[in-house]
Amino acid sequence: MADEKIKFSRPQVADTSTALKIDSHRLLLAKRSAIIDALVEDPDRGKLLFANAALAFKDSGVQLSPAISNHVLHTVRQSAAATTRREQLTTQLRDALGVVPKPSDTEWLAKTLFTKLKVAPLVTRGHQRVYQPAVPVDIQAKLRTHLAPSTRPRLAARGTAAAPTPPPWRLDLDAKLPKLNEARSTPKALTLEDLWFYLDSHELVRPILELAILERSVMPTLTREQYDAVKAGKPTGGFIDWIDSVTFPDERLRPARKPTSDAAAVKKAVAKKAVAKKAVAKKAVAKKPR
Amino acid sequence: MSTTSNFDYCVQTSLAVTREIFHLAFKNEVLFPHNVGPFDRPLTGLTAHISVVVLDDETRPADLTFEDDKHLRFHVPNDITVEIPEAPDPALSRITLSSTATFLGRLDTWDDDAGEPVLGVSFADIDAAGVTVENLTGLPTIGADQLANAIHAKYPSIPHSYNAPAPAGVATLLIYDGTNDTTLVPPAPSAGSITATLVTVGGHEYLTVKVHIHVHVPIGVGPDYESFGAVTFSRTVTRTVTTITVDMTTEPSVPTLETVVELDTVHPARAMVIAQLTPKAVSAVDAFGVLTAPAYTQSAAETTIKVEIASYLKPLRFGLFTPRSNEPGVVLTSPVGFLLVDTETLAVLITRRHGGPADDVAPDDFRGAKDVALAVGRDCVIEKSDKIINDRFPGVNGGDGYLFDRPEGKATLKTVHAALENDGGHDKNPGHLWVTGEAEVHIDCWPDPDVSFSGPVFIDATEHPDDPDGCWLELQPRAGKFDVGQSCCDVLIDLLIPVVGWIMLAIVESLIDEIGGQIADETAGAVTQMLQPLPKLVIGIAEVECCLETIVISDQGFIFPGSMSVRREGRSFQDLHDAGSSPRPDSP
Repeated sequence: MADEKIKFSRPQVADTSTALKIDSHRLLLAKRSAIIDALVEDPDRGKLLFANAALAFKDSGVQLSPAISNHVLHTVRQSAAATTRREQLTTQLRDALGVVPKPSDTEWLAKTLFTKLKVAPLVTRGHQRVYQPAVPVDIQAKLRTHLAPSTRPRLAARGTAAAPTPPPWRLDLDAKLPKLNEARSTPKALTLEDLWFYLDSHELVRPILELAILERSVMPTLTREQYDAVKAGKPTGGFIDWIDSVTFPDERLRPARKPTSDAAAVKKAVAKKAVAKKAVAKKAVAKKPR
Repeated sequence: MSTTSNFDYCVQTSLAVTREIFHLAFKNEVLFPHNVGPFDRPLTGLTAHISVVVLDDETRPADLTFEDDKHLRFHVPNDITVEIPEAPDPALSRITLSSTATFLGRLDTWDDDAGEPVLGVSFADIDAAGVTVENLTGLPTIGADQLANAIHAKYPSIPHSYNAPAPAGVATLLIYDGTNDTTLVPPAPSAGSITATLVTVGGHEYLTVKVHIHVHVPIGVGPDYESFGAVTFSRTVTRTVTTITVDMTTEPSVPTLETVVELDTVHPARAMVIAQLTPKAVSAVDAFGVLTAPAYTQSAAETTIKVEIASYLKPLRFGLFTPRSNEPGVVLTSPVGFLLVDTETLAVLITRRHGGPADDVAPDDFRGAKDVALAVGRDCVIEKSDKIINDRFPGVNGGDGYLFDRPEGKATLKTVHAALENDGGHDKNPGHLWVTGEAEVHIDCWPDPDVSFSGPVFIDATEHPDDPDGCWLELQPRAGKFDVGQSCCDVLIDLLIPVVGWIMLAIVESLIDEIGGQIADETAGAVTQMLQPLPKLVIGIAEVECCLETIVISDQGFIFPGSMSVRREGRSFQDLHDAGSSPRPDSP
């Protein structure tokens, strides 16, 4: 019965005096099951976890302290590895620049690059950035087997429509950069996408760009208004609209002890017997008259 | 409802387009000889040399209509020239019959000489009963004039002078047909031509003939008796549906139709001469023999023509649609045709998915008011999309899942499926792919939830009708209405849109490949181009340009409606003539 989804009948906690209060990470982990039980009591509430986890918890009768609320939001928004990397880059850049980096701020980017780091502005207009393919090359080869053979005569392709701009995390930071001319004037703002053209201009550009990409690549937290819209079943124009349900399979919520195999049990018994035998032998040696 | 029946693909064209192709194909006299014959046929003991000309011009156009789900009816104007050199009536030695013949041809499939499958029309099951002959003209009516002509034509070959013993020597009887025999002495009187009329007595038809004569009888007393006169006799006319016969050798036994001899010169011996002359006159008439000529009734003529048409057409067939593979050695699936009579649509089904020929049924009409429409069936779309999805995300749909790791988070995609949705399905417009799936999301320090998701992916179609290199259609997938910039949406779009792009590319390529069109080079991203979806040449005669206008997605599959223009390949003498550019002696 894998992935059995358990619904517990539990009265809604409306009264804050009886609400589950979480003010530490340790308590958060300890009360995970109870929190999830409260979350999934209403099957429609599961997706609200991805809309705004803190508000979802609150609606389920779980009261989080501000610090824990912040922690929960960050956990859902981005992976631990990404969060760690962000912290590393932030520290690196703060040490190098003397200020807390704000790579999502286009004006900060321009000022940092052109004024502080004295990088010459480039003419980037009309040039294409290089992105990693959406489909890995080896997978593309496999998909191509579903198409007509490459030996089949084909007509030349015509001009193509503008493809959607790929997400920033697919920018190829190791690609060969085009040779660009210096711009006559210094822009007052610089986008993340244009920052890519300056990868070879200064050693700090890469960490700034990487941090900017990480800051952009987060699961959004919806405002109270947007959250209420999701609760009311209205579309938000975001990824949430695609989520139908969120469930927590019981085996992951409450993992059972793994049954030992017969061979393991025998091995364990033999080892136990060996230890007991050793203890008996030791005792016998100790009792032997000198 | 099914757009492709038990097949994967279907092409539907209108009756109007089918007619255009037919007219162009019909102009090719190698495929469709316009001059048939001459060939000989026996007609009432005579040999007729017959030539046929089939026509398709402004005044007498050919046509075709859809008769039932498997048969087309052809309407072909024609002229049949019948030459009978030995016709009793010389005026009938050459006649031309004009009519419009209609006959059924059956949609059928066979392999051409190169082994390529051909969908076309065969006449293997034609019979005379299925042929009609309409507005037949030129059939002669055999009346008294024609019989008189036959007698005039026969006259030179019979004796004109007869002798018999007379009291004082040899009596001579001369028969005249005007001045046809100028050796006769005395020469014929001015009104000396043989005349004939048809009379009906007692319900039977008789030919009454008057022949001018001259007699010279030595009577032994006084001068010889000479006199002009006439013999009036009647003979039975027998008509069948195909012949007319006058037996000149047998006198009818009707008293009022006895042979009568009249002599102009009054003489005491006149009566005696008449009495003795009458049997001689009858013998002379016998010499005309039995006159038989073809004399077809309208119905009999039509029946004969029908039999000849059926016999001529039976071994013939011609192609309508030939999916041509540009890949050497690739054999394409035989197409199967149906006619949707109510909507005047020719439907060509390609690549049978299940069952056998006995299970083939006509698809529903999806062409509507368009010249042409192409369809890919639901099962084919789903099968290809499942394969592409499983290859794009190894491990998904029954395996261990596909792990994707993004800054926004990590998840194992467990299932992904794309279904077809009608316009209005899930309150989304227009028709679209409905993508569903389930993923296990990996959240740090937290039990992993299972997230099920679903949403629409639309296929936007952009028509390029005026490209100088030829019209084409561009297809690009789009995922619903997402706020641009939400990175999680980018993740979704970045995962799903390319795979839907590959799905579209695979489906469109297979459609064009099976129909025999031209495949386009792959383009970057998720864009698919449909450049030449239909084979450009039809039957090696007509050049076809098919311009697709959009894509319509429904739970039945994909439909690509469009327009079609048909023109003759190359330029023929007729093209030049029509354009006033025929070669001239001073300007070759």
